[in-house]
Amino acid sequence: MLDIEKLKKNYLPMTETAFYILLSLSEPRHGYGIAKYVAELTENRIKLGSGTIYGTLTKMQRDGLIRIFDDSDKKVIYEITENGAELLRAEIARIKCLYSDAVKEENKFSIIGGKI
Amino acid sequence: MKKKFFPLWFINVINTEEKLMKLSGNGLHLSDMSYGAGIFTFENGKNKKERYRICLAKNCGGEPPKGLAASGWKKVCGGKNYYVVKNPDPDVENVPSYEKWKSRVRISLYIAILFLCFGLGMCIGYLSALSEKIADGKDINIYSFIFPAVLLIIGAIFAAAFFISNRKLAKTDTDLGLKGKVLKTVPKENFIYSPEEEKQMLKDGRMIKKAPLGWFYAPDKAEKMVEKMGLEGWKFYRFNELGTILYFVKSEPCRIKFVVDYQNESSDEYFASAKEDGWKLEFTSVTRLQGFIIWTKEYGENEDEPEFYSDNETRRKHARRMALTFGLTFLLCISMIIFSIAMIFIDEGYTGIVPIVPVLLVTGYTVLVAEFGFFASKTIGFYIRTKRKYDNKN
Repeated sequence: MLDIEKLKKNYLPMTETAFYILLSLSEPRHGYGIAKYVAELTENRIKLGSGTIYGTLTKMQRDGLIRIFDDSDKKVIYEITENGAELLRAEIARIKCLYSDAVKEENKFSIIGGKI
Repeated sequence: MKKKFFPLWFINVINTEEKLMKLSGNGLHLSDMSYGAGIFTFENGKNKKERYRICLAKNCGGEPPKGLAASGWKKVCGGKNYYVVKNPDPDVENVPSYEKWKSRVRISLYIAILFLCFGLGMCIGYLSALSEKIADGKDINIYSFIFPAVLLIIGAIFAAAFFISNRKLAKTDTDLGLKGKVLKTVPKENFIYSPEEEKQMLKDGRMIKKAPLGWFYAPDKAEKMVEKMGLEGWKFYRFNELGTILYFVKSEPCRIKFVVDYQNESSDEYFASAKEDGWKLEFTSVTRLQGFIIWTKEYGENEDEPEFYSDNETRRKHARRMALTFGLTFLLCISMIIFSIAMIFIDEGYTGIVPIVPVLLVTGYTVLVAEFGFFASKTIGFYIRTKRKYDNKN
């Protein structure tokens, strides 16, 4: 298994694609199921393309963030590993920090700029 | 406890798993294995058949997916890049995927074929040299024949073994993907019209064909061209089997997304998930290694344009993959031609008259260099355009 610190260095901060793929794996899903779930969750803001999902899942599998198995319909199912979950938790913590800082400072910008 | 040695167990993993199942029926149940050494450790138990699966999974740390437990699979043992699971039901239908084995056996088969060809070439070379020596009445050194002969035999044995294994693995394919059949570059179902109908349509002007030179190698331009033709009322119909000619039929103006993808290796899962997402397969390489895969998707006027690559990182990677592959092939060609030219001049037998064989060789290489130089320049151009378009954006 790759060292978690090395993985953090490689993956954090995460791309939107990697973040949403891992976020969708709260339960095991197949490739197209991931795209559908992400579109639903983000209200169609993010539509992951097949090539993008395949490329990212292949890389994540190689790095041990996810594992695959087949379901009874013989579809390939992706499941998050401990390392994958650990990375996602770290990224969520980072985003929370960003969010709280953004909220704290947001008001200061309401008077600068804006429409003339 | 008993240890058994299966030296080449990995060539045909299905056979190995069947052997393990048979042994469990005789009271020997697998408890551990040494992947590289091929040593399998068994414990004595009841005479009860169990189903085994040796699964490849990079960086899995020996841990099988939790989802497998639902269909009764339990971990036996594992290592950094593999895990072994067993199921008490020998006829269990839900068996973990052979996907990784398929790709490994396919690559091994191609390598074995390469060795076979190399051995064959050397043997032919040796035999022709031998006949010359016999004609000149020189001594024959039979020992120098051993190496090419051994190479030929080993290549043939391994190629045959991997071929059988490959066929066996292909049969485990699912209904998704490509069903493990020997592939055609253009799927059969894409030929909507009969050859006679197509001929008539081409004559009537209801169908046209285009053959832009080397269009594969500048995907962004090819994609734009086909999409523009669609808007002008020429809908993309199909490819010829070499992928060099594109056929269009007269239609109402339509919106079609045309994607030229390039993969170093494409698995069943790649095809299955793209098809499920509504992409239509138009062209693929037969070897499933290093090749172009073409997809199309029609969409309505009020719909968003579908994207095969939805983020800039994977777009850049796709372009880089192509530029690197064709750039390196070009470099290889260049070094081959330099080597060949050098050999002509270094050759002791060179007497001022240009020998025919090296000249032919150099001519051949020059054609190769021109061809691959063209591919390389096109793909590098594509990479530069993609990089400019998407750089500094996430």
